Amino acid sequence: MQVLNWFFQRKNESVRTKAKDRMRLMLIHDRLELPADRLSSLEEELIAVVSRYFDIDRETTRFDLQQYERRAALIANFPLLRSKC
Amino acid sequence: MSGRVIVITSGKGGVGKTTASANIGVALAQTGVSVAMVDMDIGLRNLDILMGLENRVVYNLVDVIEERCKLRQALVKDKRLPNLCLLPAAQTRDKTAVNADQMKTLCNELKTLFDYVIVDSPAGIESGFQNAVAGAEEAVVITTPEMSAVRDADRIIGLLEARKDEISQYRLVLNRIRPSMVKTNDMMSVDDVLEILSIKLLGVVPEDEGIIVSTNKGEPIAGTDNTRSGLAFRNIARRLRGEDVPLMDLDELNQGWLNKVVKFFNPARA
Amino acid sequence: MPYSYTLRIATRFQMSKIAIISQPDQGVLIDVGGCSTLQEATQHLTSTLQISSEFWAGMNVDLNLGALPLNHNEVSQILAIAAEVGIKPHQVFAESEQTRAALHAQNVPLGQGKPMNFSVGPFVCDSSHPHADKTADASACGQENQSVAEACTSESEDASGSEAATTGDVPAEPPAKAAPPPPPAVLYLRQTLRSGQTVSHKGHLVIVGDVNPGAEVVADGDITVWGALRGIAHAGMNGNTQAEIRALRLEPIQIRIAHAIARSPDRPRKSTQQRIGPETARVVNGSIRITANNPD
Repeated sequence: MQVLNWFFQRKNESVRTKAKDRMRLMLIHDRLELPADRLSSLEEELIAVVSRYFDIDRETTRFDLQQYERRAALIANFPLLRSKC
Repeated sequence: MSGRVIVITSGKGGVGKTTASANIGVALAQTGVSVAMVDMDIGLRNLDILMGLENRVVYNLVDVIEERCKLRQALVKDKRLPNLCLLPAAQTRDKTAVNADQMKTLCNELKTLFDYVIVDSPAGIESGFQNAVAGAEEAVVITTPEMSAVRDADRIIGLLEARKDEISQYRLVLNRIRPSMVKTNDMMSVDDVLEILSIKLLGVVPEDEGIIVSTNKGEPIAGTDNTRSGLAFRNIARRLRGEDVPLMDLDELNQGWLNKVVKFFNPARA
Repeated sequence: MPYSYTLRIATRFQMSKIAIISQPDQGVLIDVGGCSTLQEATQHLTSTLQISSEFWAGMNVDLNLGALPLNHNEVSQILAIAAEVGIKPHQVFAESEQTRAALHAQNVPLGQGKPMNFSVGPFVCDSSHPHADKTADASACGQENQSVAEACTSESEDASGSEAATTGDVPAEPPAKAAPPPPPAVLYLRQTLRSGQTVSHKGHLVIVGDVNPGAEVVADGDITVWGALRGIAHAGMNGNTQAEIRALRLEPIQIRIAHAIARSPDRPRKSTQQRIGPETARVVNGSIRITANNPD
C-alpha cells in the first residue's frame, strides 16, 4: 500500500509553496526594516481612519504585502458596507 | 591590460562560496584567459586548501599590503594551469589588517596583470565583506535554495545595489540544487528563488558529492572530470566571458529508469 | 633584570594570537591597548592568561591599557583578572588621564612614557627577513623560481633515516658570516598552538604540545616540538643555517630554515597509517633534509 501511495501521490505543493510564501514575507519585512508590531499598528490606524467615513466589514478586511521586483506594496482591502455621512 | 574584478559573495557562510570561487577561477583559466584569485577571508583562509596549494604559500595578501614583499612574490602559481594564480589570505591576522582603500589599490594593480581577478569574500556583511567588495566591478552572489541562505543573499544584494556606482552588475549562482527535491516540491525551485530575489541568473550548480572528493584532493571539480557540477561551473565561466550558454537541463539528470516508471504511472508527479 | 622575556600579547586582533618576542633585559608586557572597550579588554586578558598559566608563575609583568578610559571599579576588575593567575603588574601603562588617576588611587605603579613597541606578526624583522630581498625579483606568479621545494619526506623509510629531496635557497655568502652567535634564551611553552596563533621568539623554542595547521612558529634558533608539527615552522629566522627543526611527528605544511624553504609533498606520504617516529630537519648543502631520529 505504501508503495502504491508513493506511486500515485498527488503533487505535494505544501513545503515548496510554504517556504516561498514565508520567504517572500520575511524579505519584505527585511527590506523595509519593519519591526514585527509595526504593521499591525498601521493596520489598526488605517481601519480607524476608514471607519470614520464608512462602516466596513471587519471580518473580511484584508491587508497584504506584495512584492514587485525588489519593492514592496501594501495592499489593503476594505469591504465597505455603507457610507457614514 | 585591464582585467575585470569580480567578487564572489554570499552573506551566509557554508553555501559554497569558496568552492565556487575556486571552480570559477579554474574554469575561467581553462578558457585561456589569465586569472588571479584573491582570498579575502583573512584569518580563516581556505581557498589555498581547495586549490591544493596550501604547502606553497610563502607570503600572503597582508604581507603585500604591509609591503613586506612584492605582489608577484606572493602570487602562488597553480599546479596545473600556468595562467592561474592565487593570492592567499593571512591566517594569523584578522579582517582589520586590510582596509577598503588598500584593497582598491591592490585590485587595480592585479587588473593590470590579469584578465580576471576573482575575489573570494568572507561570510558576513561586516568589514571583511566591505573590503572584498571595495575593489570589485562585478559581483556573483552565491546562495542555496534554503530560506536562511536566500534571506542572507537578499541582504547582500541590497548592499550591492547601494554600490551601484562601483558594481556594474551582480548575478546569482544557485548552488546545491537537488532536482529530485524540487520535483517533489520539497524545495524551492530555481524560478522561485529568482522571483523572490529579483536578480539575474548566472548559473545553477546541482548538489554533487564529487565536490567533497575534489576538495579532499585539492583539485577543483571544474578542472578535473566531467561531472555535472564541473560542467555547471564551466558554463558559468563561459557566461562570465559573455557567451550565451543555455542552462543545463536539470531534469535530464533525473531520468533514471525508476523515474520513467513513475512518470508512466503518474505524469502529474513527474 | 630578574627576567629576560618580553612577551607581547597582540590583543588588538580579535583572534586569539600570541606573539612572543624575547628581548633580554626588557620586561614582560601584556598589551590590551588595542582594545576599544573594557569588555573587549577583559575578554582578551582572560583568554590570554588562560593560555599558559604556568608560564606566568613568578614572573614580573607590565600591563599596557592604551587609551582605555577606565574608572576605579573598572581598573580593579582588570587587576583582579591578573591577580587570579598570580600576576601583580610591575608597572601599568595608560594614556587616559582618568585611568591614570584610578591606578594612582589604588597605589599601582604607573609606567612612564610609552611601553615597549614591537612589530606584531611572525616576521618580526621586516627588512632583515631573509626572503624579502632574496626573492625580490622572482618572475610573475613567481613561486616557480623561488626555492619552494618539495620535501618528499620518507618515501622509503629505512633505518638509516629518510632523505628529503629538497632544493634550497642557498645564501651566497659563507655560513660563517651568516651565523650569528648562538641565541641566548630558550622559550618553553606548554600548550597546543591552534590555527591563527603565532609564536615568534629570538632564541630556541621548545613547545610541549602540537602545532596545528594554520599556526606558525618562528625562532632565531632551533624549534623543538614535543608533539606533532603540522603548521608552519621557521627556524634560524635571522639567517642561522645551523638551526634545526625537530618534532615527534614532523608533518608540517612548510618548514623554513634560514633561507631555505621546503614544503610538504603534494601527495601525502604513502604510509600514513604507519607510525613515523621523531624526525629532525636541518640544512645540508643549502637544502633542507629530514632525517629520522632512530635509536639504532
